[in-house]
Amino acid sequence: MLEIQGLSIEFQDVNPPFLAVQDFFLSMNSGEIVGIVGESGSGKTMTSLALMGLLKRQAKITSGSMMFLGEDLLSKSQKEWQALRGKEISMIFQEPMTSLNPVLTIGRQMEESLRLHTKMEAKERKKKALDMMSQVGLAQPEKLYRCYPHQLSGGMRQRVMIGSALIGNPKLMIADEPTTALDVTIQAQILSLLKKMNQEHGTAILFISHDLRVIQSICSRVVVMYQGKIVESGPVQTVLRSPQQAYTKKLLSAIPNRAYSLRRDRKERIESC
Amino acid sequence: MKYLIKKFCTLIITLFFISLLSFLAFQVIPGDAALSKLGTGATEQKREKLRREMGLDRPVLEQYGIWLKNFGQGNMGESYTYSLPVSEMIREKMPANLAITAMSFLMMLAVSIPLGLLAGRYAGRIPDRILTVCNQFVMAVPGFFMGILITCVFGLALHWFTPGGYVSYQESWSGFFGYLIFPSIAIALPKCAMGVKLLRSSVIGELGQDYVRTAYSRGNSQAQVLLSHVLKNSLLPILTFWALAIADIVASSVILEQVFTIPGLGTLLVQSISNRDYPVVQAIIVLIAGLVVTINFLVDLLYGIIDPRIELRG
Amino acid sequence: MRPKKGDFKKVKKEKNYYFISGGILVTVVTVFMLVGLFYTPYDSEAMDLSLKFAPFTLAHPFGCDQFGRDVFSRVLKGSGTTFLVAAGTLIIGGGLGTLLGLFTGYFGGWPDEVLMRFNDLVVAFPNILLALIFISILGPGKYNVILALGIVFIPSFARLVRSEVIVHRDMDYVKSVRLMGGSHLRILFVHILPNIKGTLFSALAIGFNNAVLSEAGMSYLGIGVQPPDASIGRMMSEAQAYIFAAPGSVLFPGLVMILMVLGFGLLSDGCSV
Repeated sequence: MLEIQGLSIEFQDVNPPFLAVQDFFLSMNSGEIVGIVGESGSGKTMTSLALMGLLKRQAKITSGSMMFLGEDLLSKSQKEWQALRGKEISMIFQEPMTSLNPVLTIGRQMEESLRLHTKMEAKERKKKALDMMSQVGLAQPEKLYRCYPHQLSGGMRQRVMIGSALIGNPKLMIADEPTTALDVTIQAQILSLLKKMNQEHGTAILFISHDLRVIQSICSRVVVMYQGKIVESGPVQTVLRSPQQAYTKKLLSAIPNRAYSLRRDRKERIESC
Repeated sequence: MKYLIKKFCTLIITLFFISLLSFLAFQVIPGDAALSKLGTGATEQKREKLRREMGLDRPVLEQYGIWLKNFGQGNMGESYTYSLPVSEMIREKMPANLAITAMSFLMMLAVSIPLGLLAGRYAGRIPDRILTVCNQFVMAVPGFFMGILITCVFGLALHWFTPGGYVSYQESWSGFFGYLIFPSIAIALPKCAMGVKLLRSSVIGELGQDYVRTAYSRGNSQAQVLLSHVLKNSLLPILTFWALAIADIVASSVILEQVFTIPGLGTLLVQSISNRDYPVVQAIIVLIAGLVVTINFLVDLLYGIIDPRIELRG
Repeated sequence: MRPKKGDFKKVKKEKNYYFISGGILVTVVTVFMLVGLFYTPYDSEAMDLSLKFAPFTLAHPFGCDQFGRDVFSRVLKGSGTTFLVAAGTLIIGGGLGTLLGLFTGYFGGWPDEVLMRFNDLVVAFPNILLALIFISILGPGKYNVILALGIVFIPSFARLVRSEVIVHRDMDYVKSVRLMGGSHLRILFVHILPNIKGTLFSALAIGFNNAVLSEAGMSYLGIGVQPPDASIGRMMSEAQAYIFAAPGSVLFPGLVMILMVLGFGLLSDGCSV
């Protein structure tokens, strides 16, 4: 479904040009959950923004190709991008506090994709929005429909974000650190919600995180990035159980109390002290 | 609701103090109202009699009470100079000022919102650069000088209107507005410049917010993001400026009247100040201050309507 | 997204550019005004009907007005008066306002409460109207204009300084001076005042502009500065009728004012970094 080959992104407003992403490869099948993991500044967010066509003007894609549903994303015009965003590809972000517009009602934001991409009547839109709101676990959707973001908790807002991203039934949803800003218990709820939505709607999810534990619990495959480059990729279990690359090992050892910690790892740590 | 009641109480209290201050301010003036009214030729008995009639022999606070009551009933006293009821004089002069204020304000909105959005959207690029430079210059031109320039260009050179040829609304509405549009432009221009400057920086701030990215990710076009997401948010901090701008516009209209020789409240005010015709001065000032406070109240209400977060805070 | 170096530099450079161009303009205009206080090439009131509406010449660079008076001398003289009025206004309004703001902001309590309520009230009146009330009580004339405008300007300065002082009052550096035994006065004038000088200078520059504009407006109305004192505002109202015969006597006073307001405006923008 999605095929990224040799993607490179460069910031051209600094001298010398700064290479944010270099030679990135990724392929995804429909309904799959794939993770990208790396520390902040490793280029994972850049990659996801490129997938949405939302790169800043200063950032240019210098080489590579992105194919989505057999279409070349790089040759898309602004208009074609607009038709794609929210309909075929949607995105949720790290900060549920600020990612919703403070002066628009939850309902208005929930059904925005429908408003933009379908010719549905207002009533029908509302019905779908209410339905989606209960699907993402928001109680009393009728009441919430008229609420504003500041009246909701962080977890509820992220549910709203997920609902509004899925309401147009996209083939792919990019989740950029969707749980980072949340409490641990809420994190787990959101993760299981994402898994549930993935199974029910068949939406593929590109899950971006710096947290290996989160990635492990939700993804089937993972790509590890470091300084704009892929250092390792493969099925989650393989990569995490027997990391081939030094960086991946380091990332793994940075997790405290992890359940899958291996004795070999511990030995290494002691030796390096 | 709590917010609304609180704001309303503030309005009432402010109005009360404005009236009290305006009343007391003219009590401390040396000189005798009866004397000003009758002139120095009158006898002591006549003056004494008038003083009693005017209630000047009563305690100050009682006088204030009477004055306030009369004022509330639309009786603003009598002009010393013309011996006419002040309310009548004001009613006759007021439409010109109201028309100028309304037109200037609407022009300011009509110009500064689109230009501010444009400048904010294209910040740092050519349209924005041009606007910024123009703004700095326009803001530096004093209102009455702008009026003189407009008189020269549109009146004396282009003959679009006859300077000094004010038409009262009783004669012709189109002539009335046709003449007043020029002072309105003179007042609105500097306000537009200021409005564009403020809205520009507000839009730039809002465009960097996360919800803008979300809006794009749902498939909004640039225009849709700007109009249905950014605009409402970026207008919030501008509302206060608008309220202040109205006060300024009213004040400017007082000066611009002189430039365009319009017989409005300003002319009356200036005349009355020169003639020491205090009832007129007092009434005009209370009216204008009352108008400004009421507008501020309305802006507060508007905040409550467009900013959903305010209800909780208040 | 990581910040790029270039961004910050650019902003700072632009601000400095405001400050420099504003500074140059202000210096030129201020010198012009100061000269006007003490020296004019001709007597600004000397009439010479043979020079009525004289064009621009080397001897009379701005031409002559309807009474054959030298416009250049009159602009100089008028600028001098304007400068005097504006400076006086700032000394009264800015000085008293700053003191009031410092003390009420720092000590709080009922004086602060009273001041703030009073402030709310005064804000309801446009500056020039308030000044007109005072003038109608005091009578017109140069010193009364200074007094009226000065009083009118007090609340805005008091409010600005107060809000700044409140921010600094609770900062750690103030607490540590307190612990070292510094007196309240010392804290206010040696520690807090220097810290808010940027905002204060910016406000003073804007205040100067407002004072000049208000004075010009009042004199234009004929209830500001009275003869024999020259005033830019009155000059313009007198010369307005003869704008085609003697454009100089309207345009040049206007130009001086524009340059000055422009200069102080730029300076204020440059100060408020």
